[in-house]
Amino acid sequence: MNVQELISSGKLELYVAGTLSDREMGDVAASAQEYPEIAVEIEKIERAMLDFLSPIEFNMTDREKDGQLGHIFGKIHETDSSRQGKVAPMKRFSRLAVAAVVALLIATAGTSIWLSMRDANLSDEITALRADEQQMKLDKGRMEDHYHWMQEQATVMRNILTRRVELTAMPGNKITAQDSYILLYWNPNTRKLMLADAHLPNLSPDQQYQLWALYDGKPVDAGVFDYKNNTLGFGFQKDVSNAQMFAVTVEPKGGSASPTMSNLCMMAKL
Amino acid sequence: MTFQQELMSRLKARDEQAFATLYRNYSNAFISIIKQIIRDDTELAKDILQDAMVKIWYNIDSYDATKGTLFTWMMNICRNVAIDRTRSKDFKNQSKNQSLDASPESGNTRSVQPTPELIGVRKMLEVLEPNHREVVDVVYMLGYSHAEAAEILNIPVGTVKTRLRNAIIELRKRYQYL
Repeated sequence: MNVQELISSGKLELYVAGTLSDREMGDVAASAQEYPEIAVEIEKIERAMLDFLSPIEFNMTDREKDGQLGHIFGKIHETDSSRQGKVAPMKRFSRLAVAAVVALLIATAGTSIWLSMRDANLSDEITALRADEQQMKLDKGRMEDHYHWMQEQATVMRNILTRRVELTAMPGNKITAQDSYILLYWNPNTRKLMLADAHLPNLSPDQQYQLWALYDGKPVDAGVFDYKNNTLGFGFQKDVSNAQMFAVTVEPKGGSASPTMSNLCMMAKL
Repeated sequence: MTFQQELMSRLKARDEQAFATLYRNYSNAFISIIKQIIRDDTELAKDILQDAMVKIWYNIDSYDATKGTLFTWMMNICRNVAIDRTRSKDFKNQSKNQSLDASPESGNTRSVQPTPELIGVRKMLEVLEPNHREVVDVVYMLGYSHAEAAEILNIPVGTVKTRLRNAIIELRKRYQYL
C-alpha cells in the first residue's frame, strides 16, 4: 500500500480512533514515522476530531478546567502519599533488603577476595614453610653428619694410639707457603685417617689437593680433598693401613693415580 | 520534535505543567467521548475524566508511540475508565432510574439510538451529515472496531471505512484541516 492508498483507505481515521488491530496500529504508526505526509494527515484527522469533540456549546471554561486539574492533582498527590505511606515501610524494607544484599555481595566478594588473598598468602606461606622445612632438614642432616664426624673425630683423637700428624710446606715449593699446614689424625691400628685442620692456598676450580701415604717409598692414594677460603671439605676420612710419610700434591680435579712430583707441596714424616 | 513528542518527554518526567496542558487541550474532547458512553451526565463525565487522568499520570510510561498517537492512547483510557464505570454497581443503580435499555450490560446496547440524555452529544453530532454521524459515534465515541461497527450499523465493513473517512473529511473541511 503506497502513501496515497493508505491515506485514502480510511485506515488513518480508524488509527486515530484507536480501533484498528494491534498489528495494524503498529503498521500505521511505522508508516507515519517513515512518511511525513502520513504523519501530517494523522495530525489533521486528530485536530479535526478534537475540534469536533469539543463543541463550544458544552465546553468547560478555562477556570473550570483549572478547578478540575486541582481535583486531579489532589487525587494524584493523595495516591502518591498513600502509596508512600503504604509503600514506605515496604520501600524501607526493600531498601534495607537491597542494602543487605549489597552488603552481602560486598561481604561475599570481600570474603572471597580476602580468602583468595589469604589462600594466595597461605600458599605462599606453605611454600615458604616447605622451603624452610627442606632447609631445616638439610641443616639437620648436615648437623648430624657433622656431629657424627666430630664424634668419630673425637673417637679417633681420644684413642691413645692415634697419631697427630702435622704436614708442613715443602721447602722451595711454589704452591704453599711457610705458614701453610695440614693437621691430620691417623690410627695405625684402626687404619682410620682424618683431616682435622688445614691452612692452604686456594686452588683453581679444576685442581684439588690429593693426600698420599708413602710406605716403602711407594705412594698410596689417600684421597682428594677440597680446601677453599680457609675451610677444609669436611668429613675426610680414609682407611690407611701403613704409612711412613704423608704427602700432599696438587692434582687435576678428581685426583691422579700417581702423584705429580713437581706439585708436591706438603709433607710430614712419621 | 513535534508538539506531542515534546509533551511526551515532559509527561514522562512527571511535569505537572505539561500534564495541565494535556488536560486543557484534550479534556473537552474526552468529556464528549465519556458522556457518550455514560449517557450524557456531564458531572459524572468530569469525574470519570479525573480518574482517567490519574490513570494516565501513573501509566504514562506504558504509552508506546509505535502503537498509536498519545491522543488515541488517552482516548482509549478514557473510554475504558468510562466503560468500567458503567459496569459499577452505583452506575447501574443510578441508570435503573433512567433508561434500562441504555444499560451497557445488555449486549450491544451501548446504543446509538437517541435518548433524551444524549441531547448535548447529539447536538454536537448534528454538524455531520446523518449517515456520517452514526459511524463517528460508534467508532470514535464508543470505540468499536470497524468490523463491530459494520455489524452494529448493519453496513459492509468497506462502507464503514469510507463513511468514516468522508465524515472526517467533512470535519476537516469544517475546522479547516485540509
